[in-house]
Amino acid sequence: MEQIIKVVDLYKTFFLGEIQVEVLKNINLSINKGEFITIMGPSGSGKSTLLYLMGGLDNPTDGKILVNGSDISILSDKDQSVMRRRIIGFVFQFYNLVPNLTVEENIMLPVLLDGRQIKEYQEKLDEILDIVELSNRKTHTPRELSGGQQQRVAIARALINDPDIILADEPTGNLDSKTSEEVMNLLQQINRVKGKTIVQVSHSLEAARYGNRIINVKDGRVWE
Amino acid sequence: MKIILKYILESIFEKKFRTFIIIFSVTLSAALFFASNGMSETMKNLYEEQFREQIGKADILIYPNQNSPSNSFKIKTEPIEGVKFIAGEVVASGRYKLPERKALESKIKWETLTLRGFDLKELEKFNPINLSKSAVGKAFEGNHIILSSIFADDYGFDVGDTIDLEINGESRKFIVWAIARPTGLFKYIPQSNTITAIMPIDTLASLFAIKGRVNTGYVVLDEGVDKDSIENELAEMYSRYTVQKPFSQEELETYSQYITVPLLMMTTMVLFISIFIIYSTFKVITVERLPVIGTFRSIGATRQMTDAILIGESLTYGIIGGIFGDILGIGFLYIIANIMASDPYIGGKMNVNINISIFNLLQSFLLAVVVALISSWIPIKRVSKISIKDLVLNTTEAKSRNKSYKLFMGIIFISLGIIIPRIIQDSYAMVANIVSILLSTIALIMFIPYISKGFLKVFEKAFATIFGNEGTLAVKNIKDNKNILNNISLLTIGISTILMINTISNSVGIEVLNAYKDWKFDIMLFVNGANRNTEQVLRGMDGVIGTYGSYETWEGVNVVDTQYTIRYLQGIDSKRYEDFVGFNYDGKGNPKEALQKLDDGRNIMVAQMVRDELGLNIGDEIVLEMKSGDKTYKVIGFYESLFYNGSYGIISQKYYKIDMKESNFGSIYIKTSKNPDEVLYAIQDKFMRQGAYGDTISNMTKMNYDSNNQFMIILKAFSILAMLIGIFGVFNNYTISFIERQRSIAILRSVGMSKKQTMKMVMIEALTGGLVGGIVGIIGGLQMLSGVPYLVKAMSVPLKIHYTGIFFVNSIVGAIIIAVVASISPGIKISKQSIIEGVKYE
Repeated sequence: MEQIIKVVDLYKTFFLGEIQVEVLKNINLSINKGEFITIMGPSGSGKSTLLYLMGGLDNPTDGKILVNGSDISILSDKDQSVMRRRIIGFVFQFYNLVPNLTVEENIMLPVLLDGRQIKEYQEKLDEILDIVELSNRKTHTPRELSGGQQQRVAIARALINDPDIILADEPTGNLDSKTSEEVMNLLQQINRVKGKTIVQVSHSLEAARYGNRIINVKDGRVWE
Repeated sequence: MKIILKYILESIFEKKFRTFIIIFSVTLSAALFFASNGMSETMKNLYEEQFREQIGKADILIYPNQNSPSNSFKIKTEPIEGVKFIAGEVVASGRYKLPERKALESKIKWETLTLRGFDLKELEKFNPINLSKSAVGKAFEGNHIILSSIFADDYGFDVGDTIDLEINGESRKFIVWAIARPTGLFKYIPQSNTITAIMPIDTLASLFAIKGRVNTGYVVLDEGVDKDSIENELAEMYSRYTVQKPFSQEELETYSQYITVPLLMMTTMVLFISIFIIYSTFKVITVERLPVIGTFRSIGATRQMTDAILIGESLTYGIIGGIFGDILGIGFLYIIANIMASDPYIGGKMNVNINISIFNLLQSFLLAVVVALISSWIPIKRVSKISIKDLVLNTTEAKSRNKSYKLFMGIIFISLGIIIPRIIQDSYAMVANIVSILLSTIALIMFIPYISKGFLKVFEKAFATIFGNEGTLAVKNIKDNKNILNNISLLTIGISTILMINTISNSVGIEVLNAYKDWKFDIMLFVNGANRNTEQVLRGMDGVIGTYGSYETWEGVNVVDTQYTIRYLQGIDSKRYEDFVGFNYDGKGNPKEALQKLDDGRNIMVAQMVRDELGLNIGDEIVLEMKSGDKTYKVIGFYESLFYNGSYGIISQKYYKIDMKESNFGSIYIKTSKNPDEVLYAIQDKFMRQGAYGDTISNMTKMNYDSNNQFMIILKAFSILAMLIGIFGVFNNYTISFIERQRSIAILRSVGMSKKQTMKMVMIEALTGGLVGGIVGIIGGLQMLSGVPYLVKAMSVPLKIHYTGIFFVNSIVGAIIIAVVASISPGIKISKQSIIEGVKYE
């Protein structure tokens, strides 16, 4: 199987005031293309930090993170940003949509930031809106949508640039069970039909059921 | 109570920049209010002081006028009830020939002295002089002279020395009896180059063969007598001379109003900006305090208690701002009074006696407290209405209210702002204009979201082309960003105020220059009893190439059956008038022919200001109160002139001489072929006995310009202070804006926006905010300026507003620079923020 993410001797240290906290210690793991991984662990274990490091939202204190073979931790801000636009799509627990933009505009953000024209992506947008079942809501703003709908917009946004990887931080953490199921089914469908690699962080075994591999994180270390 | 007080103080000091802005706004408002109010009394003191330096304790003055039989008169000896004494003065001028070395240094041969003859004992009783050295034991008589210390120091004179003076063409020797400090009568006036020397009155009068007569009588009255009735009594006794009080309280009031009312107008604008800043800042404060208020309420605090916490915070700002405002206000008052104390006409400085009253201090302090409380009242009341559940669960959401009422109110306000100055005029014009400016400003602020939306629609496409997709995003971000809209409002108020003041100041400058441009001569000369012979002598002088004797009255001519007085009436020689005065005829046909029609009968042409004041049309008849009785004149035309603020009329000199019983010129216009200053000096020298005095047109232009500029500097300073508060507000808003947008920008970063792109977007947002603020500021400035002609017309000043393109460009560029500079620091911070922290920020 082709490796898409490889984490090598990864350390991450934070400072809480004067106190140094080692959140991740000597992490090594590989994720293959097309996998649906669930990173599990208790609160404060470092699972979200690991996900953010894989997505280039933060830089490691030490070690390497290879995405498609290149170490993203040594990339410039510009190259990291390009990677976040084209190779990785993010889905957050609290959806993180821009409130004053419409559904359509929120989904198109990565395209806009990549300097491309929205009209070239109109067909793709319609296709994705169909997948997330929000075709009739594209002119609405996030505050006019339910939690589940907002999360589906976030997923659509993650898909618009056709990235290889989708990183999801507790995608169902803010949703009720029925809506959670809908969202997880959607992610599973994206993984199976579109072949996208999905890495989600969750502390719910129910959500982990949709993936094909679980990575546990506790006290800054991982095991499977 | 102690805990609540501690909480309030901790909250205030937690956000230092915000606290600084609120206190700064309140302080400036209170300080400017104090200074504007204080200037009223200070200006009156200043003017009175200026008069008193020359006239001392005199209550009434008697002096010759154009119609007096002689330049001197006898003081009547019969006692008048209520009159303590009448002191006489003889005035002349003398020349002192400079020693050779001094003459080489200063490049002038002579120093002119104003010789004032007094009975020293009398003078001591009403305007004592301050001697630094005197000849002890010797009476002040004969050939004694008192010199000013400036003159004595310059030329090395001491008590007992002899000084040679040329008076009335003859050289005479005097003995220095005393040296006086440069105060009161001896005050040095650099611009007019007047150096005073005092001589015994009899000595000076003898030199001019007027012994027993005086040029001016200084009347000092007993305490508590009726000044008006004595003035009337004296006027009857000296019926051919002018008898009048040196100044009236009403005159002082009017003088001070010209300065204090515009200052109060500017203070109102500053106050308005302050209220706006405090209001918008308090909205943020109340939102921040919600969790604590929720906690207090959940453990039993009533609405009143939690309101009291927020009101306490606002009160604290008001009290601190009030105290600082009073202190700063005293400083402002001192600075403004000192600027106003400089008199460009005399080149000297009046003594500043600043009026600091406890009442004024208290008033400003209370204003500070009220401004702080009123501005914070609405946000506090909004929080007060939130239920405990919403407070505790933090489920308060910004409800989007129906804003259409704002548009409606805005339309009403702007309509009133346009209409009010046009219909309310005369004595209420000043108040009407302040109200109009305020209403227009409020209306503009209400329109800003709509105007901005309009501009943003235009910009969206343009920015996408110019700046790419970051431009599109920036425009989208601004649409609903209240802080940026607040910034546009602040920039609008600041820019419009500065634009208005600069345009007025510039217009005054242009108009002053234009007014003097109409004069095609170089010197305006006044000589007692001037006639054709005087002109003849003048024409024979070196450097004089042309003269025009002007029959005129500067005392005004009443228009019968109206309250109006034409302040300056001239009888002209229609054939030569245009050679000396630029005649801006407001009518069809040849101006020269129009002027010649004046000679056809009792015809009059009046300046546009008189036409507007009296509502005149061609063919109308007006009755003028002339010296020979009421005379009916037919209006045959109008012209543009700012001379005497446009209260100006011209008739034929033939009828002027008859109707005004006048045979002498009021003034003589002189064209020169040499340096006008030198020619004037020679003329004054030649006509010294006739009391000749005059000025060059270039000097008059400069004096007038400087005099206007002096006050404009203060108004400009006020408008800059208004802008300064606005700038601080803009900085604060950008800081708040980026704190609030931490999350949304982190979201953009998480989906691929680079730091450079973030900074680019922030800068485009700032540029757009500045651009819109600048444009709307110009609209606001134009609206404010549209009312100014009505205001100045009510003050009988026909000011034409001159719009200058560069001011508009500066307004836009200035607004953009302010917005861009204010967003650099928060922009850098936010582009460097941790994406994870930003995403988690609530």
